[in-house]
Amino acid sequence: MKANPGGYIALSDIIGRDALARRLWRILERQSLVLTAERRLGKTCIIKKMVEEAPEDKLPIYRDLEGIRTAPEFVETLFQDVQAYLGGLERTAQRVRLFLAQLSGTEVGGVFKLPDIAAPHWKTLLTKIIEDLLEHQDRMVVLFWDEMPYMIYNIKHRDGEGAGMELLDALRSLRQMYSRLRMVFTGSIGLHNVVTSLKREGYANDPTNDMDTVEVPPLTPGDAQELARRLLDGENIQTHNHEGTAQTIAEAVDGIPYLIHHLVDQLVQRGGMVDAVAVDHMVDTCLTDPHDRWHLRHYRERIDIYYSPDERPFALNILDVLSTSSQSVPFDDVFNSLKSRLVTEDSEMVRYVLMLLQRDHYIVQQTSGAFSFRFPLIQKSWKLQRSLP
Amino acid sequence: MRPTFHSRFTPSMMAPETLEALFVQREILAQRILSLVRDSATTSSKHHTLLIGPRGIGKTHFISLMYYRVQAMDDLHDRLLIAWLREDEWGVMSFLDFLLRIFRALLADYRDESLARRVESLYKLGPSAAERAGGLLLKEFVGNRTLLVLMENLDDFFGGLGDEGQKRLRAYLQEHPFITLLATAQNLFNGVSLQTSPFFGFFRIHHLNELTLDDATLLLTKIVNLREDRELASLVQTPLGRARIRAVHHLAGGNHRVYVIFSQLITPDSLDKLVEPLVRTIDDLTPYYQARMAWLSGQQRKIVEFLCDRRHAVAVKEIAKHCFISHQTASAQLKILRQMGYIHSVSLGRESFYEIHEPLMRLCIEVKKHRGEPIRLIVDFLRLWYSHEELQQRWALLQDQDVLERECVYHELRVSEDDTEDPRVAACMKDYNAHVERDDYIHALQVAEELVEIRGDAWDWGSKGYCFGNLELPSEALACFEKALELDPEDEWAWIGRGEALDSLGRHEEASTSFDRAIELDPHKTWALVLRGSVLGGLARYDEALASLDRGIELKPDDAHAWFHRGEILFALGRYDEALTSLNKSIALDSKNALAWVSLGETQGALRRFQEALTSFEKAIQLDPTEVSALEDRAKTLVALGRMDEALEAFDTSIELHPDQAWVWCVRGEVLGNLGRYSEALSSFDKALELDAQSLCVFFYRAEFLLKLGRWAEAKIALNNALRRFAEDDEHIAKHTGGIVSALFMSTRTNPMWQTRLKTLLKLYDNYGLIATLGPGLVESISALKSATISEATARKWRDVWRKLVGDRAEFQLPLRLLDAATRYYATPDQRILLQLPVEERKLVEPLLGVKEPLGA
Repeated sequence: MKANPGGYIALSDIIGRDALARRLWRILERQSLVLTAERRLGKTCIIKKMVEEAPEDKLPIYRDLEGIRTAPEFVETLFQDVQAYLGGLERTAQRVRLFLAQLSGTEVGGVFKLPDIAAPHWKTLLTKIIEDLLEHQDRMVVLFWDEMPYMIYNIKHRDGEGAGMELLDALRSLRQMYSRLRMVFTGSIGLHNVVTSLKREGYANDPTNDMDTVEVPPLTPGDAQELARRLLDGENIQTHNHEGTAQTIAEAVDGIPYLIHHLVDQLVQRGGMVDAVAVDHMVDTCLTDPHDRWHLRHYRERIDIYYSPDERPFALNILDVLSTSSQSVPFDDVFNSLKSRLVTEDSEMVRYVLMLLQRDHYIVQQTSGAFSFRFPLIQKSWKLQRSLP
Repeated sequence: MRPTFHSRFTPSMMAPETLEALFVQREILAQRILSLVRDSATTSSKHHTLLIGPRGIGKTHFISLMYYRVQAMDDLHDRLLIAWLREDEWGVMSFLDFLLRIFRALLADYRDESLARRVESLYKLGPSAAERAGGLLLKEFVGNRTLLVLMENLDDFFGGLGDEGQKRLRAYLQEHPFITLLATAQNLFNGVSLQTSPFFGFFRIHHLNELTLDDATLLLTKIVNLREDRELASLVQTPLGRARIRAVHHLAGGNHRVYVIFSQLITPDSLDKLVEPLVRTIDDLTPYYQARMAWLSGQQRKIVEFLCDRRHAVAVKEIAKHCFISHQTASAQLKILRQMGYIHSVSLGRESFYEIHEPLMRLCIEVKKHRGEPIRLIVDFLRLWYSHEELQQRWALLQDQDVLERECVYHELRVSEDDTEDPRVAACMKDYNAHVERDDYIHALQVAEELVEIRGDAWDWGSKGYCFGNLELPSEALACFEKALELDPEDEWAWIGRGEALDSLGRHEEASTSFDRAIELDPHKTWALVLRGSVLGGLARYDEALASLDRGIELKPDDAHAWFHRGEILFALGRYDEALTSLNKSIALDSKNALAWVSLGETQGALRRFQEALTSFEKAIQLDPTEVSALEDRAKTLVALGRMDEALEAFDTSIELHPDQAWVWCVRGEVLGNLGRYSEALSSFDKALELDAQSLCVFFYRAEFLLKLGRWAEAKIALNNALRRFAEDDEHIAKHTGGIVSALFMSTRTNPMWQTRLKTLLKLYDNYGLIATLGPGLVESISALKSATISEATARKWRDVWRKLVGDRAEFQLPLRLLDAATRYYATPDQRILLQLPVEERKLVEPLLGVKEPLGA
């Protein structure tokens, strides 16, 4: 098994996601779900694994939605997926065909692309596609839609804020209407970022409040070590102590599989014997790399993109405070530290930004209530980027 | 016939053999990428690699080479297809365009008529239907194989695709993982580096390095081999050839393409053969640099032009002011230009200065700006190529009809009269200093050789000598310093260097004279005073040495070396307290000198402050883990502290690093003996003898340990050998004889055996006139009687044997008296027995008996 940072990972090479997949199937028994995580934490790997290894009573259909620009295009894509499935059963989507015939006044054969005339009726078509799909089998249908927030963002960008919400609402009503239908949304930019901006536009609904939200965790220490060990083997990297080196690699990048691949790849390029010192040195090199090959600078940069001008100074200073503490910091201490950096008595704002930072995977709240960086590696990187002592 | 077509701008047109023949610097990367392609073709994993580097850095060469190498992997033929999108795939504006380019590349390589027909039919569909159908067609055509897509200028390509096209491409790659991408780009771009972009974190990114001077030399060697140009091949190996390559390096800033173009200019050794090809080369290169300018935005171009005009590094503030842009904008644009390899920055304190990365780019742009007047450029170039003197000679030979040359040379001479610094020398000096600063004396020597070739003054010869000296080649260094002094007999640095070389060659008196001469020329030359002090110390002329060092310290009180050598001299004089002060002072000034820590430890050891000594040696080892004296001294100190096991470990570490130190094997043997591991000790001594150890203790310990092992016959020979070799050194023999007598006592318990063996012992000592040393040896052996296993009767028997054998010999009367007292004391530990001895005799025997509270103490 070779290190593969960013590329497509063979299913057999996905380590340590079986328990999570089982948990997600259990959730899907009762409701749909939103799978969230930082970019490159392995969401796509997980859902592809689920699609490949779905239980017999589930029909999984996978689609990457990031290139879709309009709601009708989405419906058309779904139609193609459903047709491909029904074609395999030598069936056709009768309801859709009938509806299209009514619209155009002629019989629609071998439809590859929906006629333009159908575009304004995309919601009706959406319902009919799902009905056609559900009618032809007894299994629960699970639609895995990767990069859903991108699509909503595209639609919003092209047709206005309302169009994105309209689609999300339509999907929710389908979920409510059909008990054998489940949806799995995943996305790298975070659905809440898209929905938040819609809310700012006055939209009050929460279109995913019927779905469970699960955050993809990093690998467990054991699985992370196993991945590192397999990569060391696959790349024929010489070590004094294979298990020890694998453990150091796993710990150094907090069990994040993408970074384990990256780190091993860097070690391959470095050549020679690898030990814990070499691993630590490589991590330090990557954290201070002017080319930012681990893409850690975006943790700083995206504060400017996703946080409003009012929220920004709070976010930056909270992260500065937490990054310089070796232990988790209780709310009062965070607030007090902020007061020595900002002129503020607005504790509610601090609470709100803390919540946003948690949702954006920067920080976590311990059971004691205190806050700390979610990943020590990101904490270290933040300190370095901000030149903090 | 061997293909030799060598394209400077389109490497993709070159034959694979030529690409291989000219490939330098990146073989490891090539192997890595090939292994990833293989992994992608043979497993369901798919790797995506992006190579980043500015134009001319060799990206197309690399991609072309990869294409041919992958094509040659026969075992992948059924598993892999390759679509090589050429460098200038203009007009890709959508995902559909991308699919069509792939089809075009596949059709060019695989000539599948059915695919051609089906691709043609895509044009009958509308764009979105064609895109979908094209996607399905590609998937179908590739089937269960993997498609390797080689693509250049990914940044432009993504720019054309736009956000939407990129998202569609990524979605396609995610849904149909049969494609593996190997792409290049000039710099990191938002399409891959912004967290919100679809391809964020998607590629394994590799930044291509520029050529180093060594790589450039290799590249040029490969070029000349390809051209079978013997003249150039031999020139490249000479200092003159290297100096010219260095000049190109100075101009080209590590750009592969420029080296390839300039390779034709390296050979000509006369100016008339250079100017015309040079003008032609500049003419060739100008469109290339113009094209590079065309890649830039208006604002970026403005900055580059401004930097070209300035001809030196400029601060951001000044750039912003002269380009009428804000400081912030200037910084942002400069960052991009730096990533794209157009400029580089130098930081001084908190300020950054920027200049054009490739001087040649500046020169070529100037040609266009000053039409019809390429003089300044050629003048600049000539100054890099030839010395002022060479040009003067050339000027004298030029005929009236050589108009262009006369004009160029005239300008150069005029410019160089205004500015006497030879730019070639400046380039060499810059590199020389950089190498010396990194302690890289091999490369520094190469530059020094070039300096000798192009200028050849005393400084250059001195530099060459300095490098040889640091490479531990003192004879070569000496020859260089002699040459330097021939050129300038008053060069005090050369006298110093000469002195150092002579010192290394063991010619200390001459070295001292050489330093004297340097001091005569400059009485304030601290370094010479210090070195002279050190050499005089080595000659045991301690007073003169101290005077020289004190003078050095007077001139430069913070000279750590002076304090260090002073400490060493004081140590040698046995003035340990003063030595300690001096060495502490040296360490306070320079705590990184491992040898100073060693000397400090040795001084502390001499003062019996072993624990402190141990810390000092450990500090020295920390600074230089291979410093032999520190390792050995640490081990010896552990022995002194009685920490034998650790000492043994320390000796083993020392031996691992320096296995040829005979005396370390000796001491290790002693330690093993101390630990009762006599056989191992003997092996250690054998190793010491193999290394030609001449130490007395090895021979005596061998005899002693053989005795302890009961190997009497061998012990007898060993003892005879020891006595024969060191008969003159009776003082040391006396010390070791105690061990021998004790071992003999312990070797048996029977009277007859003792008698026989003692007779032999007496005979041996008599033979070498050393009988007087046996008495003290007998006294030393008294401590052996203390052993719990020795009964009172045995002790008495031992005494009686001695009495019998030497009772009548005057030199044994005192030892026998002490032995008798000791025997009786062991039987009845009553101090009154000892009181019967005169006080001076009592004092001798009390420590041997282990009396804790000596009488009259």
